[in-house]
Amino acid sequence: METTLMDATVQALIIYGVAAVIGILVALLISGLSRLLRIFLKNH
Amino acid sequence: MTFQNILDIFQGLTTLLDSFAHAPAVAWMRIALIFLGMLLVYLGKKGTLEPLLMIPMGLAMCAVNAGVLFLDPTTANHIVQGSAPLADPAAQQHLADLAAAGKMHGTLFMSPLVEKPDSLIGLMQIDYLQPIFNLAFSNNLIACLVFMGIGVLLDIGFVLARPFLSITMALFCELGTIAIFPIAIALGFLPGEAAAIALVGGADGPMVLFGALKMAPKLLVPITIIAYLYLGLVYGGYPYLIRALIPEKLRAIKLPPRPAVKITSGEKLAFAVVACTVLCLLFPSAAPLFFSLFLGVAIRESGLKFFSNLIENVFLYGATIFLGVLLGVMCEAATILDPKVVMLLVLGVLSLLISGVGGIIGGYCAYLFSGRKINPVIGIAGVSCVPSTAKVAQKEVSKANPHAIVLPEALGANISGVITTAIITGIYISLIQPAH
Repeated sequence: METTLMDATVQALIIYGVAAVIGILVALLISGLSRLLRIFLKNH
Repeated sequence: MTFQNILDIFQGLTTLLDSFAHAPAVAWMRIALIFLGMLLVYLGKKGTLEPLLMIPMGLAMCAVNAGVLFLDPTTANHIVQGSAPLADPAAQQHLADLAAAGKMHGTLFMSPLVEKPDSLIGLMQIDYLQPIFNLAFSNNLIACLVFMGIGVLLDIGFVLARPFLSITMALFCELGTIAIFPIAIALGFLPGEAAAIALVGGADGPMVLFGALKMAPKLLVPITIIAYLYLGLVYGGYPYLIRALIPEKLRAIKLPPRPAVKITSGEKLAFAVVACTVLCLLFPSAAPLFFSLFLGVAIRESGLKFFSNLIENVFLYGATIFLGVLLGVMCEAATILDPKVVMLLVLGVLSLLISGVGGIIGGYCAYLFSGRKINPVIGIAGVSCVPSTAKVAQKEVSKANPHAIVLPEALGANISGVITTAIITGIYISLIQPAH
């Protein structure tokens, strides 16, 4: 099936949206991990 | 002995004259590519383009376009029968006739389009780069080794110090990798091809190579060549983009004093392990890339000096020289004459331009949301050409204000760019059907 310009634009926006969500999750993961690790290292 | 026989001693010249008689475009392109190869060597030596890649690539372009000969029928048959047949049956028959008569042009470097196993095994005994191409390039091993080397060189402490700023900047810099996809579709490219050329906007060579192999194997050669040629443009062209879009007053902004954030190697290692596992879980199709990058990071942060030295000094440089040579060898006249290549050239440069503009928009957002404290030039460093764009950002800021230091923030955005480009590559590979 041929991909139209509209389909491709929607797909691109979805891809960007998913990438943005995962990017923010990675940032959250980084800051959360850092804090957890600091607490862990303090207690051990 | 006739004059024709004497000329047959110098088959590079004979094939060139033969091309002038039967396919002048190919002959002129061979000459143009020889000169382009020389130019790349010159620009590499001068430092305008990346010498590690451009010197082997330029020389290989000269050699492969000069060293064309009439292939013997056995070698020519391996190529004709081992490659996918041409769309035009008459052209295919003509090629088969030339091969049988020992009149087909070719080189003794490699034949990237051969797919059938028995022909491949035959060619591996003849073409000296064929084993490297099939056993290390077309399965992404070289791209992954380069990525592992990048991992060893990266200090992810810059990302960990300011994760949100770094990742946000990097996401803005993905604008080109997203915007070019529908534009390429509108120009008639298949979805896989459109996604592969869009990835040039990420300015990450191994990623483009990986994406093209997975999604557009038939356009692998031109897309990869364009991607690596354009990486030089990032260094040469982005300073003009920065100066055009950011006034000197803003370029001179000195960042407020940073709080002393000490990131331990344990934290960096923990991040590498968790991020690698999570990203591989989310995007198994790009798992080799994530694993290679984070393996490099993990080795660096574990203090495994012997491994670090091995990867940095042997694997990375070894992979880079073969990458340069293979890219150069793939620049054969017939490949570059594909009409799609012109469109790919335009789309590639457009993708990098949009990514750069996106980064500057991100920089302006950071500037406004931080109460006009963050230098907007940092934004462009999110384009993941490590560490070129970070260095470009610092250089432009230093020109406007020699006391302003943005390199740590720029490197954070730069390294995040590698991660976000890998994420987008993973999403594209997972969603888009390969173009065969």
